Amino acid sequence: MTAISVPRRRFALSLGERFRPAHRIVNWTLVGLLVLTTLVAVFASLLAPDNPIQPVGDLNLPPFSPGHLLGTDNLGRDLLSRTLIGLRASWFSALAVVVIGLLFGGLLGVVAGAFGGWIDGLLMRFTDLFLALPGALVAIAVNAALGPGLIHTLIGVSLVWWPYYARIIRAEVRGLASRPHVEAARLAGVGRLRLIFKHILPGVVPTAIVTASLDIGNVVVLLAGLSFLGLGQSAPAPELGADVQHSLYLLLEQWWIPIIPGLTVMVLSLIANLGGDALRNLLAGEK
Amino acid sequence: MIRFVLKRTGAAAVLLVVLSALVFVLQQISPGDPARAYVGGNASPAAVAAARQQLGLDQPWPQQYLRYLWNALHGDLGLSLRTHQPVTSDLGQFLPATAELVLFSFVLAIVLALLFALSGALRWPGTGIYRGVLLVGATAPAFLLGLGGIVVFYGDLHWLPEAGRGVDTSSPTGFVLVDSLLHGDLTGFVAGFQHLLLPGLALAVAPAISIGRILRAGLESAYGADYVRTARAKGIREFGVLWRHVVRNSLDAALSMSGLQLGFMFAGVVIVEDVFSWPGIGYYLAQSIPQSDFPAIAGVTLLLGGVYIVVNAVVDVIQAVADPRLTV
Amino acid sequence: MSTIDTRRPRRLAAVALAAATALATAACSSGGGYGAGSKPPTNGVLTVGLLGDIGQPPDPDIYYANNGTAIMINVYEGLVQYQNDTNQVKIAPRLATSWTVSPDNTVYTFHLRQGVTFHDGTPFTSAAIAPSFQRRVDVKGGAAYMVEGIKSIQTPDPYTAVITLDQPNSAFLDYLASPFGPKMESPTALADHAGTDHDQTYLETHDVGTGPYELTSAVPGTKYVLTQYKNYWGPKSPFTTVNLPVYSDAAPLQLALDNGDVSAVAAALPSSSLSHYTSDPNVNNYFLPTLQASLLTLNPSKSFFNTVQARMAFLQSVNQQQLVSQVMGQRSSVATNLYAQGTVPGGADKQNIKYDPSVMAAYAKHLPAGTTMTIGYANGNPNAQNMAQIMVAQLQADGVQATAQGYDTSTVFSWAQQPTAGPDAFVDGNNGPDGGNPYMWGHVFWDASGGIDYFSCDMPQVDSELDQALKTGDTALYVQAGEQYSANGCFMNLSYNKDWVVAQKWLTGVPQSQNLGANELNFNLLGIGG
Repeated sequence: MTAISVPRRRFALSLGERFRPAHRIVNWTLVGLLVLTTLVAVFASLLAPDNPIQPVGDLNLPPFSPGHLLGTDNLGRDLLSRTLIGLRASWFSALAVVVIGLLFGGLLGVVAGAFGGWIDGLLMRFTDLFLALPGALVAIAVNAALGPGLIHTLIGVSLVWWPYYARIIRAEVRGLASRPHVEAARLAGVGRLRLIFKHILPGVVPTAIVTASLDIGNVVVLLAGLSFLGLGQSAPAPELGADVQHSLYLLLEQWWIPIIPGLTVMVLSLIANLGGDALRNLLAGEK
Repeated sequence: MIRFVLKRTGAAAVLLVVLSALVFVLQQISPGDPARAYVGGNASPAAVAAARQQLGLDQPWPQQYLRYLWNALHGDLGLSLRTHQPVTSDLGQFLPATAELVLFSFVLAIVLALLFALSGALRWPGTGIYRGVLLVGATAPAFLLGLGGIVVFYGDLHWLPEAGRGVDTSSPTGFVLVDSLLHGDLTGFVAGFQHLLLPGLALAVAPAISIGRILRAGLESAYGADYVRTARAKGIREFGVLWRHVVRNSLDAALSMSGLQLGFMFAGVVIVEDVFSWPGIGYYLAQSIPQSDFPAIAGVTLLLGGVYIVVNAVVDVIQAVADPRLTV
Repeated sequence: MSTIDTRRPRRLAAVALAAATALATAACSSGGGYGAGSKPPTNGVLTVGLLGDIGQPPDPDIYYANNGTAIMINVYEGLVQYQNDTNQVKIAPRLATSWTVSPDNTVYTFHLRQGVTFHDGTPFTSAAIAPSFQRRVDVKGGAAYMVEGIKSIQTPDPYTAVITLDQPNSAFLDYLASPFGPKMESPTALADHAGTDHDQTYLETHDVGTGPYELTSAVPGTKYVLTQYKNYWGPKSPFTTVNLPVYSDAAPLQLALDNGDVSAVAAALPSSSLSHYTSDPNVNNYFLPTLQASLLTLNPSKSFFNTVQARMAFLQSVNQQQLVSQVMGQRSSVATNLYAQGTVPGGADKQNIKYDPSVMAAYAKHLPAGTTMTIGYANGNPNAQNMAQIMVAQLQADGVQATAQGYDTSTVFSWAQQPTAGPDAFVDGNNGPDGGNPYMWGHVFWDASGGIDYFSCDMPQVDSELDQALKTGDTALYVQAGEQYSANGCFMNLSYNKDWVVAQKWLTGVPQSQNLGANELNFNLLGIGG
């Protein structure tokens, strides 16, 4: 048994559970891609050659046109710039959902796991309630009720995304709490808060990071799905899912306008999944 | 064991009430005006006000909720603002199509998952491409996958149809594949299968990967386990070993993952049915969202949520039967 | 675990990326090609594709939306209709063969067509008018207003009806000619299936009309089937069955048209596919007259547009020419009048908004830095979306933090009660009046009690002028009301839109089967040629 408990994942993808730590180079490359994507997102506005909202060229230029690597859309906006800024919106939205889930679910999980007893019972019943509802469907309903908009989408998805983290992290905390060194510290009279911060949290963090990195891809795809139903980012600000939805009617005429952001969603999801797996393997290998 | 089943049933009932309350609160905060959707077009404010009264939308909302819950218990989910028919009869009309699509797709997912797991664990030569394609398919948003499939297999190749189920109504079961066989209608069966294939695949890829991955992990660890080695040493044929010792041992994890995946397929089915104009309740939901047809949205959410809750309760019970330790 | 293939991760990643590329390339490869076209049907089946559901039940007294009109005008008939195959607003006979109007516009006398039967066999006589009108009042649909001001209906003989109105109304014939106007319904069938809801349940899946087709199947959101009525009094087409399948996205519908599985599409495809179909040798394109237009409405209840100066400055910055050429394409032309094209005789209702972007640029300089504003459009309307985005780009160039936002139609219609909840402006990609009388345009778009005055921008003076003009039919008063409303800067007519029909080469009679009241075709006037 490895030191890291393997979380049950939502729409899990992976190359397989257990490619071995011997292949650190491949793993590091994949993790590097994950970091690179984040860097691209951070510096998107510097990398973008043009203003993503203003028309800057002829209409409907196909990819590899001079001056516009990915072409232009039906309003003459530079698609490379839109894709980069859209990637930032999608990536950071997904990160936001995952971070909110980790913070809220993690807090709940740590408290429930560390305190046990009736607190654990109460918090986990609450978590189970959310877990038992069909998450993606509830996200759709919440988003439909609040109306379209990126913030509303994030609220809808965050609302259903945290319970998984609460479950996983609680299990991890319970496991750690019964470990001999934690047991010993408790017997030695170490305070509960100190116990949590010194002994339990450091053990939980790797699981949390792996779970989160595996999840980003799922969130990116889910956000794109909500955008397809007409919820999600308002124009003209670019966001990958919304850009696909807004231009889907061009699929048979100027295919590259919906396909480029769609492909970017796929690549992001792939990178997040491969990178997440690689990260887990690396962490597992170090133990 | 009976206590466990009862407890699980009670919990499912509570969940349904919570779900209905959630849906109702969402309806209250939604910005759309359902009365306006009901009368449509260039309707005057006076006509809208009359409709609001007729639909009971002018009453205070706790009263509306209690009435909704009371009626729901009697099998009345209100009137769809778009079709003007009772939501329950709409759901009844569209449910079989969704049930057939989801079941078909689920079977497809299991088959794809088994192939993924076996080909991976046993390293069948040349199957890397299959796994790669499946992997990429699963990262694609379902609508892109669906539309891509339509463009290639309908637009370019003319192999498969682009929309619908191929028939207007199907009786007695509502499942085209079953009904056509009952009637001895082979052409109808083939047509039904062709219509199912693309939407079924678009819906199956993501769960196939998730289930396949769990299965494969199970296979790989079981394959190296001592008792399997013993079995192989005893000269039991490869396939027999695989089936008797390995697959069965990895089924438990795969089963619980399957229950979970079914829930995500219900969300996916909304998108896939919309792309393929598939006359099911997902398509019904997708058409209801733009019109703020909340009785319909609530009905679909309750129905799909209910099925999800019940399926997971059943999975729990099955697992408990298989392994009584889980009931504690 | 030494048996695990060590190179797998890298190889799989490579395969995965290659597969992604292949998938994309395959999906794109069919971009430029044309379909093979199709052969004329030999089984009498015509398939007309709908984009999106009809949105309401196909009940003539309830239906008040858009593409379901295809069912209404083929299954039901009113007393009069708009004349087919012309861009003039002309009332033509249908179930009435002739009529007279009293000079004060209160008494309308109709002489009815003989030998007409309803689909249930009941003969059509003047006795059918009162129950048909009454049902419309009873079910309180959006278009019930058309028959609410009737004082009496006298039937001196089975083929004459004298309708007397409470008040003079010069638009009454337009009400009757509208595709949403009152239809003749079989009194026997209405009585047989009345139930407790005035036949509403029955009419969701059946019909009680006299039209050339019967509604034989209706699965909401999925498919509607019309079957030729054997005893129809008028011209019949070779199409004994008309299928109306619903497509949820434009791409599958276009492919079905390319593959010949769909015979014709009316007013449904996005303008972006104009260039594809106008150069496709396998189909015919028709651009037919309508009363419809693209409109821009500003929200005076929000701070950005709370002065006439701000509103007019913005309207002057709107480049109609660019919107038409870049977004609408050849299905539209720049709107120059205040009312629907051709509804005010002589075109006296000139829209006096001169294009001059410098006014807005100068105005925007005085706005506080970071001022935001939102231009709305209806979801699922790519033309409105693109026009909104062009306006937003222009505003951003002027230094305003503008965004474009799509809204669901039910949300759009909720703003009239609470204009502050809406965006600062709304682009309507395609909208039109119920009929060709100027009142049906002015009252609906400019009077808060009318229906689609999106942000309740109301001028009591204009309202009363319109009401007065309705009684007399005074063109000069309509023009005056329009000019006053326009000067207030809440409204701009952007473009006149045409009904773009794409049909297989073999389909004939398309222009002859359409009139400017509806975007849809009379299927009984279509034919097979070539």
